[in-house]
Amino acid sequence: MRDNSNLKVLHLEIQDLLAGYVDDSLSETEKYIVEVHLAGCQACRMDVERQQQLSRRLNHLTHARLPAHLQQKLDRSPEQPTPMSGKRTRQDSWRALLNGFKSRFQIMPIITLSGWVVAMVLMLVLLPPLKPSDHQHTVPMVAQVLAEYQSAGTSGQFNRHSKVEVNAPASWPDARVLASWETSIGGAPATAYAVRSGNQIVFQYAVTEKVFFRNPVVRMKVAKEGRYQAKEEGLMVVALPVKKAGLLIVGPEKAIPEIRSISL
Amino acid sequence: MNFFRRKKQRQQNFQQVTAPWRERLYNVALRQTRTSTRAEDWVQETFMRAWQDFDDLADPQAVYAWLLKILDHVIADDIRKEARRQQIAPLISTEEIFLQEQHSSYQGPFEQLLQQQTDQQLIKAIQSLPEDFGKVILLRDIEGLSYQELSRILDVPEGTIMSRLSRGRRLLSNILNRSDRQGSFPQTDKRTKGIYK
Repeated sequence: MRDNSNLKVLHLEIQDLLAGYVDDSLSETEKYIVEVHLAGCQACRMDVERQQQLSRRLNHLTHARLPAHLQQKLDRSPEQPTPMSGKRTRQDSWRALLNGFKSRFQIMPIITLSGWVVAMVLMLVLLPPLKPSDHQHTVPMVAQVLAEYQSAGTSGQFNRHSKVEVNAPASWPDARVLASWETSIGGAPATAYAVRSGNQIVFQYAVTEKVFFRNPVVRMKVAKEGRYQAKEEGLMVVALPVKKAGLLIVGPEKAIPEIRSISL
Repeated sequence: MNFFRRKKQRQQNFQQVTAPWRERLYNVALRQTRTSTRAEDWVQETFMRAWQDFDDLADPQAVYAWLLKILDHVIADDIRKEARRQQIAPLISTEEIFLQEQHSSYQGPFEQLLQQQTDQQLIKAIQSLPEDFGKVILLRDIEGLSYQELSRILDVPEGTIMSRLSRGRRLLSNILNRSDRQGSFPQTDKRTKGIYK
């Protein structure tokens, strides 16, 4: 009886070594003990065989590609806060927007004092004088993009020589993308693009379909006229439906192109 | 400007050392959850913590193991928070004797059964294992790390890695065998339900 129970304990102990045997990670002594046990234990021999097969199969699993948007997020400054998805607050969005500018343009390391002077001059040349407003606009997403445009514009953080190899959702003959960053419009993720249009700067926001059609006024206008537009203090916002999403173009009225010259 | 130059240099070093491992790390995260957004959150959080602790990385050759260790802590923290939110009972000890005593009852050609399983089915079966077992299988059999690396990442002795791997593989074989007969993956323990999202 005692012999049987000893054998059972040995069997259980050896079972815990079988992975090491399969992976060739045992000492010579352990290997010898396991091999002696295997010679007389069919259950363990089968176990070893299955472990080998399982290990081989798992070693050949296909790998998923890293999503492009995650790649972009990781390319940014690692110091930048990375809010958990779906838990983003309005404050986080602002911080992300500002940090997006900082990391994309690498302002602090690159721009010296003279750089700042150039940036200030560019700001004065490229942007019309804007004063802060309360943005009591009835369509929240429109009010938000107006506010973001003014805020980003007055911060003056554009670099004339920056090259961004992305395409904005909408393009027109004299449009050139200067920057792109992730933001949040209407509480949902959105992608923003700063586009030079002539000698002015225009922002484009690719927003979710849900946010775009949330407001009944926008829904009605888009259904009747194919677009919604609003003006405020010399600025204009054009809202266009695109495939399974919405596009908001905001900038000085004169810099917004004719609808027929826009390619989506 | 020295400060900014040093900071930029540190950023460049960090990206250079860690960027090659992003995709693999994402895959490891993805295999421990059922939603890709959660895996993305984990990966982002991992890289943020890695940046904070970048100066602690003693051996740049061991960067992947270092990132995996951080990811493991990130996942553990998140699962703990989630469990607290859902007031789930703590995980049972995975050292329980019944797990050790499990024998595979499968008598048919196991290799054939394995080949019939899609990658997705295999991942699902691993996710249905108790956490400690799933983790060692993931890191050893899929990621190909050594016992020594696993020991460093999971902060347990190599002997424990070996026994968990032995038991985990045995349990996984049984789960696959049962799923083949029943058409679904059983939860190995009801109390783990809800831990893997």
